[in-house]
Formats: sequence, structure tokens, C-alpha cells
Amino acid sequence: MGKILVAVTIALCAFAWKMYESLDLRKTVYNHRPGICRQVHGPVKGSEDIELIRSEGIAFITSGILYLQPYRGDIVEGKMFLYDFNQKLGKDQLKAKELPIKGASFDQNNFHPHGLTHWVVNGVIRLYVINHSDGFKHSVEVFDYDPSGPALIHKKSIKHASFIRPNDLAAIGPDQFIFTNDGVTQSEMGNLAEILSGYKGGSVYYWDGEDSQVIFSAMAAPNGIAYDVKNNKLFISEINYRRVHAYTVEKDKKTLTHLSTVDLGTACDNLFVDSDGSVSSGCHPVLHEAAKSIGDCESDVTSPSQVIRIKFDKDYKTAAISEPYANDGKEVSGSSAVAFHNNQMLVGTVCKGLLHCEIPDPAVL
Amino acid sequence: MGPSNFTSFLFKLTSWLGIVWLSTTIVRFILLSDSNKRVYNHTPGPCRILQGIENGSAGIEYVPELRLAFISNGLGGSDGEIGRILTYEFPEPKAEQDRSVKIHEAIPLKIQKSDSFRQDKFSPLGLSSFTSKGRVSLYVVNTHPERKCVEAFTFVKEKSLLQHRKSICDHKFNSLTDIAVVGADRFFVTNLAYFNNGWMQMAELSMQMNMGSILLFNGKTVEYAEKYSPSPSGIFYDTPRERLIVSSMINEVIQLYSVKRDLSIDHKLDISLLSSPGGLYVEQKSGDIFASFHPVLNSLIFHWLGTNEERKASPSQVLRIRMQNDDVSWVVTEPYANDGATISASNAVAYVNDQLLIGSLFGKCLLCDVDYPTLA
Repeated sequence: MGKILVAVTIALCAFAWKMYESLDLRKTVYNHRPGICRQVHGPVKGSEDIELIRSEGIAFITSGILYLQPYRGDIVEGKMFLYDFNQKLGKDQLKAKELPIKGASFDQNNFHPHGLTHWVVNGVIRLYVINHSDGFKHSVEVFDYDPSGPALIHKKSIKHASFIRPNDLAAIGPDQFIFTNDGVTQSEMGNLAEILSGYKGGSVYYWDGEDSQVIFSAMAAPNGIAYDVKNNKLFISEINYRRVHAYTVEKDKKTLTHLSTVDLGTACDNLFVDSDGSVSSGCHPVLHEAAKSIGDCESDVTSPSQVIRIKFDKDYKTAAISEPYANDGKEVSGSSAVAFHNNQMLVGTVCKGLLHCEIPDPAVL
Repeated sequence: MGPSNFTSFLFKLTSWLGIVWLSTTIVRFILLSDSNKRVYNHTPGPCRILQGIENGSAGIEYVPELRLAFISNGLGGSDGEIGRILTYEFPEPKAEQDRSVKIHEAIPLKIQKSDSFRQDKFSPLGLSSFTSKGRVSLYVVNTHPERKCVEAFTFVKEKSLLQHRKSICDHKFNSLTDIAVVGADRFFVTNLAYFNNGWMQMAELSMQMNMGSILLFNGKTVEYAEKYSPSPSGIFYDTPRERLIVSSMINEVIQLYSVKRDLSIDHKLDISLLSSPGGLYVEQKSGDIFASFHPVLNSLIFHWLGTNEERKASPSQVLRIRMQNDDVSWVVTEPYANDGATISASNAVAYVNDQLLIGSLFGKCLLCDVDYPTLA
């Protein structure tokens, strides 16, 4: 009896410590920014993922996410926005333009975009967008970007059993992408049980245009994913374990060679690859506040935001980490994505707004 | 039968209370040690190392009349190092174009030999100054275990010289850390802990007993301004606002006191920051409080216990606290943070003409431009 009591006590202590660490109790954020920051007019329901088209100086933004909360389907309207980095940074309000979506087969009422990626197919920018319907069914919607207008032309809707709970995807070829499932359960309560039990229900799949093949199964909550075309490197963030993995993509495109893992100490969401090969991410530094804020998107509850930048060495074995931006939530709440272009930074959020910052001196990053 | 049962009961009760106390102490120590904390690098603008300082810049005092910062060097002098005081001259505000070109160097000051002062028993830490009729008096906390005094110097600028004027020693000076001068030969000084011995002090701080103190020297005697203070590490007197600012390393708060005419202090406010503060600075114009921090306390412990040849890096941090008009709320920004690779264990800070000077316990001194002062 005494031994059982000691064992139970030790188990409870271990569990309490794990909760203490996981939820970021006693953690706080100190505000700083690299330059002048302003709200971007347009995506009031969030900007969960941002995809930069470097050659055009534009970025596509998903807004109106629906995640594990089917009852919010009537409240939230999913939208796609376009931000032009070439717009003047004067005193005028910065704007992101809403993109109308054209296509007879497109179901606007069941559109709630999540992660997105792009590939240039026959000179046309093609977007691949993870979508969750009002009933929390999953698909990848394919759009072509029509710059005259501008608008998105809906091409097709990809549905497959491997879309278990997709979060983000990275295009590695025309109509070919690698995507992450961040868990298996389909409800908030299920997700909580999955997290608390430590069950590794996440997975990573490769979609070859016709079918999908599993790359990793039993990964714990893989979240953001980004592909560096120039260096043929793939990066996956594991949000619950606060780390980012670096891989090389082999020629068959479905085999990844692990290069290194970077422990970040903060819950990083979507990933962005810069032109110099560095990887940046929007992060949730205080996870218990993020859970509250994201769990109730319509309320005024905010949570801290953080942008982390990872600069790998040439072998992708070690990395230097810096923090270009941090805020307690008053300026931008629940950061999930970031994009850098032309000494500017866009900080996307799960469901509350979009922030733009100027970076007058990139050396401070 | 009766006495035996009572003794047994008393023993069990004592044992359980001891277990409870030990458990809570361990839990509080685990929470204090910042085992799951991480510091991410960022700077407010271009930064450069101050030439001439390698093994410590633990105290900084800025004298606006001279545009000069005094920097103390050689903490832990019992290792055989000789303590020094260096100066860095800030450039004129107009000469902004030259900032990036000029080599920024700290100049060591000569200390005039005298019977009352021994350089081999000089381990300077906290610094504070008083300027009257163009004459600068520098007061230096001497942490040498055989001295435990405040050394008063007169600064002779023409000769780059410090003249030792007197030593102020007292049995209440247990573990002196920082000093704030409020008038000619009048100052507040902090004892970080009750014990001065290394391991006893470590145990005291680990158990989070609030047995540090704030002392007042009124020109004649040393008396307690606050007898039981939670590990006061930094202290700064804000002359225009007549407030005393004290940092508490273990409680992770900055305390504000108002100072009356008779130099008694009245506790006004605690600012909780979840990071362990060291040295303090107040910008005269705005009243903003700058503080240097040890954001990961367990790293600081290993840093402190190391030798100069092999010392583990400890993160550095500078926060800026801007009090709002109501004087009960504040805004915190973070001008600087580093994981210890550039500057390790920041312990002192000064903010002058949009430049940040950051000193460290046993390492380098860093000078940063603040490109956007209103944002930093």
C-alpha cells in the first residue's frame, strides 16, 4: 500500500510538471518590434497562413479558419486575401484585398481555409489550400490566381482518406505536395484527450497528384511545413514538442532524410523560408493563454505573439535563433504565420487580424 | 503509556511538517530556477563590444555633467584579480555621424596610492556618484570578503585619477551589492542576503528567505531603511521624482519607494517581471526605468560558480518599464535580449542619448544604438 502511494505520488508529480511545462505557466512575453508596426485592414477574422510569391511581391492570406469547432460554421466566413508588398508605406491605411473566388463547383458556404502553399504551373500561380467544411470535413482546394481582377479561379477539390486532420502543406512540384495531419481526433474534447494522453496521432503524407503515401506516422502534432526549393530542404514544426525538424527531400519525393532538430522552447506554428534559407515562424509563447484565445475567437481574449527566426549553418546541423518580434497580445494576438519581404514583415494570426511591420535595419533580426 | 504515546505523536507530527516544508521549498526552488525558460536574441540596433573590458563590467554609473560612465571591473577579486574602475565617454549628441566609425573604448582610471586604501582588497561592484560644484564623488561597493565597505573617491578628471577619500565600513554590511547616493556622504546600500559566506548565502537564497536588507548611511551612522527585504540586488535613486527603485533578484520584482525629507522610505509599488533583475537606471527626462536581468536563474548559478578560465554562459536581458500617468500601471518593453553568446549575465545598464550600455558580471561591456527609441 505504501509503495503504491509513493508510485502514485511520483506519477502525479511528473504529470503536474509536464502540465506546468506544456502550458507555459510562469512564462511571459516582453514587447519589442523591429520597426513601426500597423494593423492591416481586411482580414479581421485572422490570417492563419501567409504564402509569399517573392517574384511578384505579393502574399496570399487565408482567413476565417474553422478548427475543431463545427458550431462556428455559421459565424465565420472563410476568405482569401491578397497583400501587395509594393503598396506605399505612407500614412494611409495598409490594406489586404479580398479575392473573389470564381468557379461553378466551388462551395463558398463550406470554405474555411487553413494552411496554404503555391506552385507555378505553366506560368500560372496555383494555390493549394487546406479547407475544413462547416461539418469539419477536410479537403484541399486548388485555385489558379488570375492577376487581372484580381481573383482566384477554383480548379478542383481534392478529397482523400489521408486528410485525417490536415494543418499545413508544402508544394514540391505541380499538383504535388507534402502535408501534415496534426492529430486524429475530430473534436475539441478529443483533441484535449489526445494531447493529455501524449498519443502521437499526427502524420505526414505525400500527395503525388493522384494518390497519397505516408511519410511519417505516429508523429506528435506536426503543424507547419515549408519547402526550400533552392536548397531542396523541407522543414516541419512539431508544435507540442516545440521543435522544428530539417530534412532533405530525396528524388522519389516521398522519402525524407532527417538532418537536424532545433529545440525552440516555444510553440511554433506555420513556417516561412526566406530567400537566404533561414526559417521563420509565428509562435505561441504562452500556450495556456493561446488555448483560451483561440478557443474563443469571437471574444476579446488575447494571447501573446512571437516571431522566431532560425538561421541554419550550411550543413543544417546547428542553428542560431533570434526573435524579431514579440508582443503580449495587445498589438497582435495569437501569431501563427510570418512572411518577410523587402525589409517588411507580415505577422498572421489564427483568428484575430493581421499585422505589418517595417524593418529599417535587417541586421537586428 | 501516556508520555510515550505523546512523544510518538509529536515525532510524527514534526516529521510530517518537515516533509511538507521540505517539499514546498523544493517546489518553490524548481519554479524559481527557470529550468524551462529560453531567451531569444534580438537587439535594438547595431551593437559593439566596448574595447578594454574583458572580465567584468558589473556596475555602471553615468554622470551626465561629464557625459561619462564609470564601470566597475574585477568582481570576485579573491581570485587574485585586482579591481579596477574604468570610464567610457559618450559622444556628443550632435556627433551622430561618427558613432559607427569611432572605436569605443573604456579607459582605466588610476587610483592614487594612500594609506587608507588597498588595491589588493578591492572588488568593486555597485557604483553611484554625487556631483557638487563641478566635483564628482564616486562611491563604490567593495565586495572583497575582507573589507565589506563602501569606498568613497574623488574623481580628478584632468588626471584620469581617483583619489580615495575614505572607507565607510559597518558590521551591518553583510553582502553589499549596490548603492544609491542621495546627497553628500548620504546613500542607500543593499545587502543581497544575510549571509556573506558563499554556500550559506546560496542556501539562504535557494530557500527564498527574505533576509536581505536596505541600509541608509546618513553621514554618521548606518541604520536599517528596510530590515527584511527580499534579496535586493540593484538600487537607484531617482532625484527629480524623489523615489527609490530597488530590484529583487529572487522575487523577480522591482519595488518603488518614495523617499521623505528625513530619508525614510515608504513602499509604494511592486512591478512583477518574471525575470531576475540586477542593476537599474532611470532616464532623467522620461522617468523610464531600465533594468538589466538574469532571465534564466539556474544558468546564473553555474555562471557565478565558474572560474574566469571556464565560465558557463548565462543569458542577458534589458527591460524598459514606462510608468503610466496614474503611477500604478506600467508598460514593459524589451530593448535587448541575448542567450549569453554575445554578452553573458547582464548586471548593469545605462541609457544615454538613445544608446544602451550593458555591463555583465564577469564579461564584456556592450554598447548598442537604439534605432527607434519610442519602440524599444
